[in-house]
Amino acid sequence: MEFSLIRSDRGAFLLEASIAVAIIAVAMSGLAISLTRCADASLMLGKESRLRTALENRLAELSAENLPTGTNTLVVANGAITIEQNVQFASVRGRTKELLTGLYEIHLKAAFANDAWPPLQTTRLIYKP
Amino acid sequence: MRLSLLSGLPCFAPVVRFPVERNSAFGGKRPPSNGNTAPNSNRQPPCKAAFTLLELLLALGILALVSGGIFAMMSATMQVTSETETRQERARKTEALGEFLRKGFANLPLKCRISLRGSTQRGGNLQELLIENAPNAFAWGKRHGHFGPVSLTPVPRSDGLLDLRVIKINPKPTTVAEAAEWIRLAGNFRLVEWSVMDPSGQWLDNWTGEQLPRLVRMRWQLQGDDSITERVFDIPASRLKFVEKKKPDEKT
Repeated sequence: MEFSLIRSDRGAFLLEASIAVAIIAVAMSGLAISLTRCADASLMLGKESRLRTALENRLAELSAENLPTGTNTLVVANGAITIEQNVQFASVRGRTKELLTGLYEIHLKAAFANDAWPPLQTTRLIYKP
Repeated sequence: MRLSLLSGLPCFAPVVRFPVERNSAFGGKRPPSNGNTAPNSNRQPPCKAAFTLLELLLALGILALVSGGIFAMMSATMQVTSETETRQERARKTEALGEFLRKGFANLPLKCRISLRGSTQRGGNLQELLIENAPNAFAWGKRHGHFGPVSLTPVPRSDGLLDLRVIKINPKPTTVAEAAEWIRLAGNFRLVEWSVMDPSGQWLDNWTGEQLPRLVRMRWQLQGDDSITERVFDIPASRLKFVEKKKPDEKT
């Protein structure tokens, strides 16, 4: 059997079939990519939610306890999440004197301990006179 | 001998034909006549533009492969979409529950009292968080009308899962229906645990103190969750002291 790359009087042949298959392959690749991204987005949502919850929990705990100034590293969620916290005094000064004391600036950064997922961080001011 | 099955019909493309030219048995030539067949002057010439059986089989094979691939892809897409929807719905419920409880605990008044105790319901050991002296705490519906205790309680269902309910306990009910109104905050829990942090910083499973705990912690696991979710709720009122205002004549 002989195949021809140019149109003959026999109908559609190898070149046209190849183009059709290539078009379908491109479409299916696009579908596969979108499917992967959809799954990744769902995974990202879940992971980000876990990190955000860990940060909120830590902020609530810091609100209730005496704030230790300096940098600390904590491990929470059964060792799955690492939180780096940095607590510093934050002063509100006027021209001549300090207007507000007891203000702390808290910087928290949460990351998965065994995962290269990008960390989530936040900065809050807490007033504890 | 002719191999064309439709040679007597007029040619309409794409009629399936076996063109005579492709018959290799006679070198692409018309087969020899034995003299018995009468010539048919009305017969049309064979159509040259037609598909061979091999081409049709090849096209059908490719079509089957492509259809199978598309079906598998669509099936996987629908499954992933369904899982994503379920996961997002769970995340939304978790977020909404956490936010509702956070606001409720953040707005508790100074003279509020919290007690945490275990309760045995249908054989399960569950905890009940009771909040007293907190008018309209965790309120729904009529926002100004409930001054009795409120209970945040996991309640077992017949399928083994738990519902988390907010129960308004009416201390002076006039009817049985008024004794306790409840609303389901969230369902499909496999685990619900409460604990409170006492002033010394210890997490406790029971609490009946007069003083407010510093923090309330809820740990839960929804059906389908891989891990236990934990939320810590701050009670700002626990850090404040109630100072009763004296009357002007008592100042001296």
